[in-house]
Amino acid sequence: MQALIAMVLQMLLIIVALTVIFHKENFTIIIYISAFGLIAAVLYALNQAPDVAIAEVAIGSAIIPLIYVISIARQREYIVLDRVDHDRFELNEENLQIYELLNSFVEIHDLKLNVCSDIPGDDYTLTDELNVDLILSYDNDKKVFVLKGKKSSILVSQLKKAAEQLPFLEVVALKDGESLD
Amino acid sequence: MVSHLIKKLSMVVLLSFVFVMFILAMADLEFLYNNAGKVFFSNNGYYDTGSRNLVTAIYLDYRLFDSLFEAGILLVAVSGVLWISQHNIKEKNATFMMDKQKTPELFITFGRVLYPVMLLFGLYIILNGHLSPGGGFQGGAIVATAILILYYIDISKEIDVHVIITIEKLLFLLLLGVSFVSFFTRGEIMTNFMPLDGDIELKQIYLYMLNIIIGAKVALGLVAVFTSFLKEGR
Repeated sequence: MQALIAMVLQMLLIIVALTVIFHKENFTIIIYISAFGLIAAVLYALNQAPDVAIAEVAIGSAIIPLIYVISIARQREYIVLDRVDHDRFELNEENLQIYELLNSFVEIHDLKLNVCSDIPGDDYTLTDELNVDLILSYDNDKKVFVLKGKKSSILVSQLKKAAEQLPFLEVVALKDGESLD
Repeated sequence: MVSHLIKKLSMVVLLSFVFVMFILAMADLEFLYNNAGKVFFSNNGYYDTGSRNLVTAIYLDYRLFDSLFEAGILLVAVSGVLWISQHNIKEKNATFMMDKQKTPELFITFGRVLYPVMLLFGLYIILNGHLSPGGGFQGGAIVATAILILYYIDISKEIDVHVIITIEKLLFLLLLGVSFVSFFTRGEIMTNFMPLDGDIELKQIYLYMLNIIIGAKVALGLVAVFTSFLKEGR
């Protein structure tokens, strides 16, 4: 009976491992990783290694999924800092179009848009040191909106292509310093 | 094109070399698999170390040297994570949506019920490391998981990571100190400081001490890693 249970669990372990590799949804993968740790712990216990089983339960099915949840939830946001003076009503129509563009862009890449407006500071240091992905501002001389982002980000270069259809929008890639991310 | 072929060929050669070495090693397995060690530990383990759990007997007494470096590896790993994710900017960061959103009520309620039970279970595993399966590392990981649940209940909780890593370093030094006490009592390092023919209950004091130190160290280290992940980019 025990041998049968072990065999079923081993086959399940292989299936779960393959699912982890081929699945597309990140949060579902985390649940599968957790299940993998649990099945492995049961197998350890069946093979007379209860010490390892306890460690596997604590590490493999609790701590690692929690850390993954935190880091993926952090990565799925696209933070835009809005610096346009919204009291100037002649800009409203174009501003709305920009936000439609940003919304569709974010939806393509399966991210969530997070717009905030009340952070002071220099543009360069903001993209360099902070977690802000884009800065939206209005250039009074050229009469265009300017989106600034990090040069190292792939999303910025793709946004440049998407922004070509709007004549009043310009995407600028700032060169970032020696930041670690 | 040619370089691709060379890469693939060298991969095949490497794999076949590993396979041949594996076959050769399997031939010696009969010679390697004897039960001399098993017999020795099951006969002498309890009387030498005072530990009913022979795994604890090995990693806290016979092979303490290995365990010290394991603890050191964890310390170095935690320091590395903290060094990579260090951040000195305060106050002017954008808030994440996860911070704005509230955790579901159900999760908070269950977390509050689960938190003391998990803490107690972790402490039980640490203190009973020499009697039942478990020990400092496993119990420390469970205590750390219990503390992590606190973050989900109240996200605004502030923990100073630098204080935690300092305590962890001090605990590592304490671990080294306790393992070197036997040099003065027994004349040899990295073993129990009680005499070898002494009372078993006296020997267990040493196991309690080491398990508690290792448990605290592992719990603090994992909490530090988790905190730095939470704070990353905030």
